[in-house]
Amino acid sequence: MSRRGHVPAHRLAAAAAGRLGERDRRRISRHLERCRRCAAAGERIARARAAMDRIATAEPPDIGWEQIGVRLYWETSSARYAALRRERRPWWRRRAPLVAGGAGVLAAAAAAAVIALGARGGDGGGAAPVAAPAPATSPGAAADAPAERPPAPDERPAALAGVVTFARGEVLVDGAPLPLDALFDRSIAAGAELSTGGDGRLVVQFGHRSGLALEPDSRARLRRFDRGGIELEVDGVVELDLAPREPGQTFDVVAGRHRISVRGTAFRVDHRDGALEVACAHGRVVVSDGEREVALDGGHSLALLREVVLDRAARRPIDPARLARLEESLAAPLLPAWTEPRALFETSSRLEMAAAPGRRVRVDGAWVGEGSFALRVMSGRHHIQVADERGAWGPGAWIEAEPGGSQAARAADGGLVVAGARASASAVASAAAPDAPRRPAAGRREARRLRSAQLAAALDESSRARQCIEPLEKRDLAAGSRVLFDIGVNPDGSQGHLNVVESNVPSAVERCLRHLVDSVDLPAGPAATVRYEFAFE
Amino acid sequence: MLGVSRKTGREDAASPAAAQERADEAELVRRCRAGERAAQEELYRRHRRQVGANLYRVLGRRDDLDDLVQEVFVIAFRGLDRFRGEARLSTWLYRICVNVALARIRARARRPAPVPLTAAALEGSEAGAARAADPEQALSAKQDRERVYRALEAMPPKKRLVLYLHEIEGLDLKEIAYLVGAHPVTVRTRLFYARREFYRHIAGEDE
Repeated sequence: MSRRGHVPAHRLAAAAAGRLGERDRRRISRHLERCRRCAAAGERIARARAAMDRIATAEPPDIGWEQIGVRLYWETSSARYAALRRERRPWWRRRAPLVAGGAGVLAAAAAAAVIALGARGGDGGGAAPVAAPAPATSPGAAADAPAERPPAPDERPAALAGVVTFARGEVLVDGAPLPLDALFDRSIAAGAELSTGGDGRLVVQFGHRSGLALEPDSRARLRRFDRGGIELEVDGVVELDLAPREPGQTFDVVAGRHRISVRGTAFRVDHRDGALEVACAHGRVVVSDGEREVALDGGHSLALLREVVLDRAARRPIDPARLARLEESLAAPLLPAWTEPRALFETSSRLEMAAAPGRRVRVDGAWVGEGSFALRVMSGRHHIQVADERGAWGPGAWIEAEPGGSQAARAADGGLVVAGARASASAVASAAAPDAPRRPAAGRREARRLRSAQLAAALDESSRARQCIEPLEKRDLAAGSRVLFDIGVNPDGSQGHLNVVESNVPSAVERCLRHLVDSVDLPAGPAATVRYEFAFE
Repeated sequence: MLGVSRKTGREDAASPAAAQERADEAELVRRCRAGERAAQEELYRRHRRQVGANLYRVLGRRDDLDDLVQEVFVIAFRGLDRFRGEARLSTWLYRICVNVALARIRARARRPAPVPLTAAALEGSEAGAARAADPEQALSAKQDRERVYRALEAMPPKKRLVLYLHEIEGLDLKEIAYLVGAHPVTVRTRLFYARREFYRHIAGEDE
């Protein structure tokens, strides 16, 4: 007994578990008969012990074992590890083969290095700004990180970059339709304008479990896209599924005069002809028009017609059937793991699916889309199933997604035909459907040669380069100085990205040379990614 | 050699079936070490439910469970070279589960718990099954279960784990000592104080 004359809780538990001797047990029983407080405590402990027995035999909930398996393979694959190591090596340690003679046209070896280092976006014809690494949220990825890139001189928040994980129908980036190769091999960065046609759908992932889905006839522009904040301007319908953001990072969707602010949530914004509808599946968003604010919890929607003042009365609960539909449509096909876009390009694969319109398709047990589309998947084995006319899922087929490759699959009478991949016994005999045509390597080389020559003509004899290096020359330190740039040239002659790959000069000199390269206007021509080196003797 | 346990799957090593099983396991581990992908898939398939169940039971939540299962297997594949075969593979995986769970409990203690998105985030198959039976009983069972996890969450991580492994999983001190990497005497002391704390909370003496 305790000092107050009651039985301590752990003694009651020991008695209930049969851990006490007969004498102690009898004493406690006698006490419980006359002490209501201890009897009540004993009852609670007995119920807790029963609950503990149930816990001991509880089965785990269904958590998508196949998807975890795919992620696991990708996490531990040597291809991913190699890509991450290459990507995260500090830039001052990177060594790329360069053409002899310093500045000028790149040799074929250097060109190969450019491709290998992942400068793929420029080849596709669009602007492909190379963003700073996106936050790697995967625990395994974090453990692998050998080094971080040095902070930018101007201390601005690091840029984020997204990748396309799903595309269907007409999809435009920066106003231009892109072939699948280019679309899937480029990163989406700040300033990008995404739009879809009447049959289009585009999903862009920009972090672990974070992505946006642009529905048909819609447009979205990434006004801001960095670790400090994300701002998305929307005209049409966009669905967002967001993991909780990093501390201090804001996420705003701008729809006309309204702003929808979020943390971690899944919601849909429909902004057409001035009318706005926001439906929040879970989490919480705040809609504001600059003067008023209305908070919207999960399971609620808010509809505003044009010129109608924002008001709490516009908030309505979503009926269960619609909420279920919303939940399903918000489940955008995102990659189950995340790392830097360039490493993703090298270690993920593109699946081009061809099925009749309206036929539902699922991969690894999760619904991903209908009809024909292209989907990014992690490398590894994937199980594809196509629903029949009645909506019943077929036996499906297995594909082997190789890192950096693409596979095609089409629904045919009697099963699924997988081309360019190992199919299981359930799959129909493999057909020789070719992969999507890639731009010939010779064309890319030619484009690079042309753009390099144009840059050399504009920069080789530049007096401004001398001015940039002047501070070093005055101190007799110019000899041996070098700065290597990686430049993405768009078809209209503008520069898509401009990165310093190697440099051994002070940051002020580097900035000066960077401005010089940035100021060069090239004529319209083929898109290419080239390197240019300033080497002073 | 460790004793027999109903939870960790260790059994009489002298029986022919057990010996065969251990030989199969050793072969599987050898193939995994050699980087054979099919073997890794096989290992994952064999043990995924056990790992998922261990993590689910010790943490009492299903949110992030998939991430944690992945983390356990990533650690296992990367550390397979260090697996000496003294314990069963399932026990070794259980040990990784315990470490991953401990890290998660500590991380959760450092930051406020997120608002659960849905009731399902807090429930598992066990609560779901109970719900399907008698609603009143199911509610009561759910409340009891939540009470147990609330009491566990109120405890320091190390004590919590020891108490969970002993009182819920039914492991003995030696097994717990192996799983948490501590001396059995330390475990016994920890368990002594953990029981007092836990049952005081359950009995409502803290309220």
